[in-house]
Amino acid sequence: MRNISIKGAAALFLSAALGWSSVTGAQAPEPIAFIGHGAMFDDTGKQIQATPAFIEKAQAYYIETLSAQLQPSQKAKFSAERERYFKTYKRSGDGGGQEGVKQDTLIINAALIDWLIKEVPQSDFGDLQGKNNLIKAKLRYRLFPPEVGAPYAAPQELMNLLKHPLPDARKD
Amino acid sequence: MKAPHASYYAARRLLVPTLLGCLLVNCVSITAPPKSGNVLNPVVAKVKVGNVCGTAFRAFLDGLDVTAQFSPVAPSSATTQATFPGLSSGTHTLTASAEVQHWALFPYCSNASDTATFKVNADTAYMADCRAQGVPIPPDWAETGTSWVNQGNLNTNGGGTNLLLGADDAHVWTYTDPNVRGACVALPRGSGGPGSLAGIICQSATTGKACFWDNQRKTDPTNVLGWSGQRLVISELVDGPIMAAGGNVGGRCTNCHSGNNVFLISPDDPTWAKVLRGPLNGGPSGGQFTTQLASGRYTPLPVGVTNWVNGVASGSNCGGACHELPPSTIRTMRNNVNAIPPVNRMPMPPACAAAGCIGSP
Repeated sequence: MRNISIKGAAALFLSAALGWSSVTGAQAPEPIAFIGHGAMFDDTGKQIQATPAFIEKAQAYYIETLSAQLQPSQKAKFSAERERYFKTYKRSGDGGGQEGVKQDTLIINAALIDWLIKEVPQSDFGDLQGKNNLIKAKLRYRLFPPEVGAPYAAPQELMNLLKHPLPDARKD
Repeated sequence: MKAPHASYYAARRLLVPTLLGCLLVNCVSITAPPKSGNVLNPVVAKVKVGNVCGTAFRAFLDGLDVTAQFSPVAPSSATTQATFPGLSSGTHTLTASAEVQHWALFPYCSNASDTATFKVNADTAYMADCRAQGVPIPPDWAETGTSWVNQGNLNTNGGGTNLLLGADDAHVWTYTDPNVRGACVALPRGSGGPGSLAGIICQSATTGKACFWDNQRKTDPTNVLGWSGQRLVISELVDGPIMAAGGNVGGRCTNCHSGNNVFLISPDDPTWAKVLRGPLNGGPSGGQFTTQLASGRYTPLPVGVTNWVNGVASGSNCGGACHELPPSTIRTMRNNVNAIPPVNRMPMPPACAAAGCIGSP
């Protein structure tokens, strides 16, 4: 039995969130301009296909943009807790294989965005929450081959981890 | 004490079997839910059935045949029962019948039936608010066994009038409330399997208030239930207050559903045409159904929630026959989505508008 750490996969998002590198600049247009009937659209009104690459890119954008607005204490808490997510969660066995690990990374990122949405004051909280909810809905189905589109059940260990969300940094 | 006359005993010999036969053995009698009672879901129905001698036991709930839901399936001299888990709020009528053995001096076979009218209270707070503001509240949605009616697929006849998703399937279902003027439209989309979205909007023709539901359960709002073979229980679904807070996956409805009424309809699409005009909209068989408002403009419920408003200003319309001019982002989307030319898509007036083809509100 092998344990696959997804720490490496998280490195991109860790660096992006801390502003160490700018994979997608905050000035770039928002990747999901609006959603409707469960579909995503760009700012020209074109429908976006929810590919793994797009979701990864969109999540990186939202994590970077939102975390850049965190206060230092919030940022420290966010970094520590995100590391806890990625360090604690190691996929046992090879159920789902490497592709399952990739999908789990995207699920964790969605949880991180949920936390950021709550932490960062926004003029339209619900708009971004809806977009992240739609991403989470897409992640309930396999995005990676084989069996793209088949229902995807995240490992129980991950679900348990996500049930205990990051503490509210605003209480500090 | 004077002894009864012999004729008394003779009469009793005749009457007692008759009464006992009818009351205790040979009748069809609904014992639950209580007649004229108020009950909660799940509703358990129990029917006592006498000795079946002809046509078998049958049961109808609000006119729909629910015989198969009773167990035992072919009762005779037994109590049969069924459980209805998700009846909509309001009045329901259960009728049971069978040909059973009667006694009147001699046995004979005749039809017997019983009817129970009862009320179900299954409203959520949002449903109660909508109902109080004159919005028709729909029954649970399912492909069969409900009062919802399939009007057609927007992806037939050339497609392209599925506003957001182009040539994908989008089935238009309507519900006509027998008493409340307005419209309920459900739009189940895609294949219907898990992940396929279905939205429901109901609008009052008299108050202009509109209410919204999507096919995710409140308890698990990122799990899109699909709709094929499903029963969408209205009281369990993600609704307006949750959508207003961004808690659904379909997007904030009011971003696009704006203008003089809530429904975004491509008027000359054959399916939408049935909904917008003709018997479904004020005609003789349409009853209370209309997609239009008697006066004023539509208001999404709940009220008082930031960004959950009808944001299109009055007056910036394109003829006033159908819908008013939406925000520029929506116009851009409309003009670009799936590269389908924006012909006959919302919010333009129908080609027949000049001829008065839209039904009266």
